[in-house]
Amino acid sequence: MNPEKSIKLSVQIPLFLLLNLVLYFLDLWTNQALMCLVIDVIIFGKIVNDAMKLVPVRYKKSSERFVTLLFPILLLSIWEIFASTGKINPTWFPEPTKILASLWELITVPEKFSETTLLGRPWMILERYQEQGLEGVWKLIEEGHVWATLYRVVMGFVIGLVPAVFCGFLMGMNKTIRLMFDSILSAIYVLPKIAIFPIVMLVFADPFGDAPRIAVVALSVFFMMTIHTMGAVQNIEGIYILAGHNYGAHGLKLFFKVILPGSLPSIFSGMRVALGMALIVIIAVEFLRAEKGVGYLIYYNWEILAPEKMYAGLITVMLIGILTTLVLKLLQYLALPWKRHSLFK
Amino acid sequence: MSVKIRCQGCQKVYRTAEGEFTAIGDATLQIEEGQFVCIVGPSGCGKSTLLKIIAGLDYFTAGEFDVRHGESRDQPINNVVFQEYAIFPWRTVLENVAFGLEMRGISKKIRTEIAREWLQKVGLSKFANYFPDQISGGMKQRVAIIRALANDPEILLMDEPLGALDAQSRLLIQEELLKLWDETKKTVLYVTHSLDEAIFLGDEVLLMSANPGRIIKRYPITIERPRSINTMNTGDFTRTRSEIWEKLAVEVGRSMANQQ
Repeated sequence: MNPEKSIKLSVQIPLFLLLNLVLYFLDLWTNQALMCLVIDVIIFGKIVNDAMKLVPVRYKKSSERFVTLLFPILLLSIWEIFASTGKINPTWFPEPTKILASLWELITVPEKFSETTLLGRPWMILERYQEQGLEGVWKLIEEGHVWATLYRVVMGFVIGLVPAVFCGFLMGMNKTIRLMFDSILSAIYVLPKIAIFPIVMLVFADPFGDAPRIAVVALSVFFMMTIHTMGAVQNIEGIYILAGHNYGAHGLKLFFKVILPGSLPSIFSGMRVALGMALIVIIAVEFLRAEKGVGYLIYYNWEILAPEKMYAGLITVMLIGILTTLVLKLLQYLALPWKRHSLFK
Repeated sequence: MSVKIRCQGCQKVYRTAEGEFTAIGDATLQIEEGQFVCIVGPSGCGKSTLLKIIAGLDYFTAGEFDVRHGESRDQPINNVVFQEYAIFPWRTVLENVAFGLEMRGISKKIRTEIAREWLQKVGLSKFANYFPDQISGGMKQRVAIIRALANDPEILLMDEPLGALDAQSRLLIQEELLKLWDETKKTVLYVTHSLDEAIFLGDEVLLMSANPGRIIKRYPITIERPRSINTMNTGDFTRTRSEIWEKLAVEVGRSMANQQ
């Protein structure tokens, strides 16, 4: 324990509280709330920083975790207070508690036009489970918005990924193929796939079905991952290829034993980015034209001006993003055994 | 003793958009079977290029070049130990050592056995299932060396394999290398820019000039084997070193002038 530092702290904290009282009484919190908030955050940050230095080594890890949790909770509380007292407009920034409440509503109360909630008809889960077991429960969830969006994004991702990796490898390994297709690829890559959504709709027999939506996601993923995979192959250290050749790996053997594992880590990092993009595309498409899905829900609640429900929708999208990223990380863990020990650094 | 590797007036000229660049001006050499030959020269003289061409990973643009193959049908003609760490990061140490054997179709059981034997010879048995980025530089190069040796090639080609290591690891691995070579007596061509290393390891030292590289002189090394770190302190060693250094210094100077 550093005596100097703890004295400093015991002076800083009361001063901080005093400052806030003064600001309050000078009515500055009412008029210049933002400025007060910024000053507070800076001073608070400094206090926490100093306090962290005093923490004995044993509690270092847990105190770090505490601070990581502390700040978001603090932020949410400030948001709550500011919104309920009217300092920030509660229409644009509804209180977090209201948002959570509407999230619950979105799960339990069916929306008017799609006649379903985020997770189907969850109140029937117990009943269904008794009648038809897990299968029945699954069928219920399939009716919901979350599944609609999840299904489209995952299908689109996989359908775009597989040919992309294949083409990417071809283009990376063979100069002629690369020369032929590189310019076309780069040109279409920069085209926002939302812009070609109407054209894609024309192509399919059922323009208002899921197929065009999944196709647009697949296209976005395809162009990005082809370019990325091609780069991954070209960026393999030349020395590995030389070593491969010298030790007897040619053709297909060279591909499976050297080129594939050599480019896999880079391909996985590209997949993370492509997944993020796939989510963006599907939500945008659902804004435009969908009768079900989290994007549809967000847009609908914009149309009827229910901002808490919009935020709740955003939280749902975040959760879908976190879930899919976790699955990707798991796949990465399984596919790259040589990177496992560095994953937890 | 028969000639294993022969180059007569070999050249390597690159034709680029900016014009011609001669990497190797004249490589004329003869390496006999079972010899440990070192090529020493300043940076940029083309010695690494020469090694790659002898390995079959590139080709000469002029001159006569041949390598005499042995009788065995399965034995690979050569294997290279590269300058940078060229062991595959996605394979364990054991899998790396067994790589050449795997490419030749040798069964898993046998190649694992062979790989383990070699790991034991260099004291890396404990690290068989580690990945390359979990081991030190010295260990990585040992793995690279035994990857070549485990494959049992007729010729061992080494391109400044110890260049990236600290001085202490270098000395230790040099000694280890000689011991391992002693067991198998392969034909070795070793490229280095360290004169000490070349004299310590080789039966013969070939001096290569600054760019465009030419083999300008052959120095047979008569220092007795087995050699140890103490050999570097003997009179014989220092005499040989000063003799070769006279000419080498001139080439190093020319090479630096070229770069300006």
